[in-house]
Amino acid sequence: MNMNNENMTTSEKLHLLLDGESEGIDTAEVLNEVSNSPELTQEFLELVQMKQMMSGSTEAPPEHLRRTIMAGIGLGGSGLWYYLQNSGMVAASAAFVSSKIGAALIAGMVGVFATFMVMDNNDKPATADNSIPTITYTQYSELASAMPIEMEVPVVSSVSKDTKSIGNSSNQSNLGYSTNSSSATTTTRRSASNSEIVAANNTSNNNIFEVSESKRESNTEQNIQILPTPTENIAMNQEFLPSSQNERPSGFIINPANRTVVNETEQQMLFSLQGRGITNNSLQNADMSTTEAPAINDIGIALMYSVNDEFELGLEFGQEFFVKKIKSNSFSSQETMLENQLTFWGGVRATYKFNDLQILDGFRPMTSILIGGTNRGWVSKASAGLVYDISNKLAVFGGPEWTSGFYQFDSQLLSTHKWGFQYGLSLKF
Amino acid sequence: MGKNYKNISDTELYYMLKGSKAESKKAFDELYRRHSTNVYTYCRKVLNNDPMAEDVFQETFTRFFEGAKQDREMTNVIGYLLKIARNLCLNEKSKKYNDKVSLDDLQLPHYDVSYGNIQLNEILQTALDALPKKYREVIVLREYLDMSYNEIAKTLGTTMPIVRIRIYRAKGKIRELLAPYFEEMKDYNR
Repeated sequence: MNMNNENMTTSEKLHLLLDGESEGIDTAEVLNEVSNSPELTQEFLELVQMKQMMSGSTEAPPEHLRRTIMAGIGLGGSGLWYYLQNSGMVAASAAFVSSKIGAALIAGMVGVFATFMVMDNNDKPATADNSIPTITYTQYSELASAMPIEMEVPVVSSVSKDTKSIGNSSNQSNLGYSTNSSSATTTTRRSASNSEIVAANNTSNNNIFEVSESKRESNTEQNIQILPTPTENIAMNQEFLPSSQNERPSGFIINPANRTVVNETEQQMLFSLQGRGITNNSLQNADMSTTEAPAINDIGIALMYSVNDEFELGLEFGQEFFVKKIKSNSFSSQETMLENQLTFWGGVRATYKFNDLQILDGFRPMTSILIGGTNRGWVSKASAGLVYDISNKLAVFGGPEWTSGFYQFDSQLLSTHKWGFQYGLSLKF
Repeated sequence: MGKNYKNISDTELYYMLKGSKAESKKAFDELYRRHSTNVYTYCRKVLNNDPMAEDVFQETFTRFFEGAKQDREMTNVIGYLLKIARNLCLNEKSKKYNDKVSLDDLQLPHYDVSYGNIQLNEILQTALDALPKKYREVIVLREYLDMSYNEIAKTLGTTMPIVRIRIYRAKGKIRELLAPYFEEMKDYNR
């Protein structure tokens, strides 16, 4: 084949035209030549036919290949989600959350999740690892000098009948301020001295107190304790600071040794909040049903603690129907009847998760028991099933569950048993 | 709101494979969604052996992911994927048999027009399999994956004129092989 378009045969040009590589080719001229030659016309038709036979015959790979690849490169666990997306199960899930049970589950979980979100989680115990960086004195100085502090006297208001303790507290307060005079002056207005602090209306301002010496002894009913930073603590803190620390601008004491920066990106998820739906497939047909049927029946909410990767322990509460014998008075006789009663239960749940199933990527078999009580007696639950980690924070689970309820009837311990299906979400934090 | 990975370019997604596990997973998912069909089609058409094609296909994406973890400049993701697939296909082919079927000895299946495209596809695949490797792959890339001559040249690491020649000759050979069927079709359409 010639490299130069001008030296190409018409057949070669025809191939290029059909492949969309017509740059530098006179299309009209080529088509004219093709129409004038039976051989070229035949070639043209066959090439078009070949193209039609081959075009659009791409094939999508089977889904199992994707799961195998993902597992092989350590990104496994998304096979289910991919399947759900492509099978319309996500739409089915949306229908579920729009139901009463689903809505209640989601609302409860969102509420608790939001609560945890706004909570300050920085009070986790710091490890003794020396590699954790501590704040330096330079950083401390910058921090301390950058903070204009309005509320300078750390005071606590309390009611005490012990006059002596008041005096002691006041003394302590004086000691504290004499050690940290800059703090005292900014807080208690410069016109007042340490020994005589002019009383002010303590009901209008709980943070700034001005206590007159003359009132201290007589004030026995509604006393005020002023609790500044103890001198000992200041001395201890000063061990971490150079001599210039005496000039620090505020009354706040920041102990650099206690300030740590904890890298939280590798935090292990120790707790999980689980929302569980419960079906009662074998619930007996009772003679009577109670009228209590709120939207949130047949659910459970559990707060679980991960002892390790396999074992979880926690508390769970929920409510569902249990059949129970009751005595019913009808005119002159008394009958024993069965009634389905909505029962609130709570207990300790222990869950054990096994290793991943080889045949189902990402699924872990699990078994779980719950022992607890109801507002009518004892309850125990045993379940088995599968758990699937959608992400490191979210898992779904489901499986059959057996429930036994125990209650007193005519001085006898009776029981009611049922099996069903439990399913739900686990939100780890 | 999370990122919409569908709007991110192949190259950006490729570099995201080096990121966190979550990001890497989403990037890989998207790249797989975009290119798996082409890579799988290439493997199947070139190898004409389903188990072998599946093995090569898996290995292609595994190597692609491993390669992404290294510092490598990337401009053409599908080209890179097809290069990996091509090398693996060549290795597999050379392992299994030496591709010495003569075109003259080739026994194409009988064509029954009533089965239409199903049989035609089989015949086409048989014809493809009878082509020398260098012709087969250019036809697959051009006709099945709809790549331009320039893209094919880059993927194969060769020049456009060579790609032109190979495609021209490959099509000529397929026409020769399918000549009886084209005749039958002509008779059937009369």
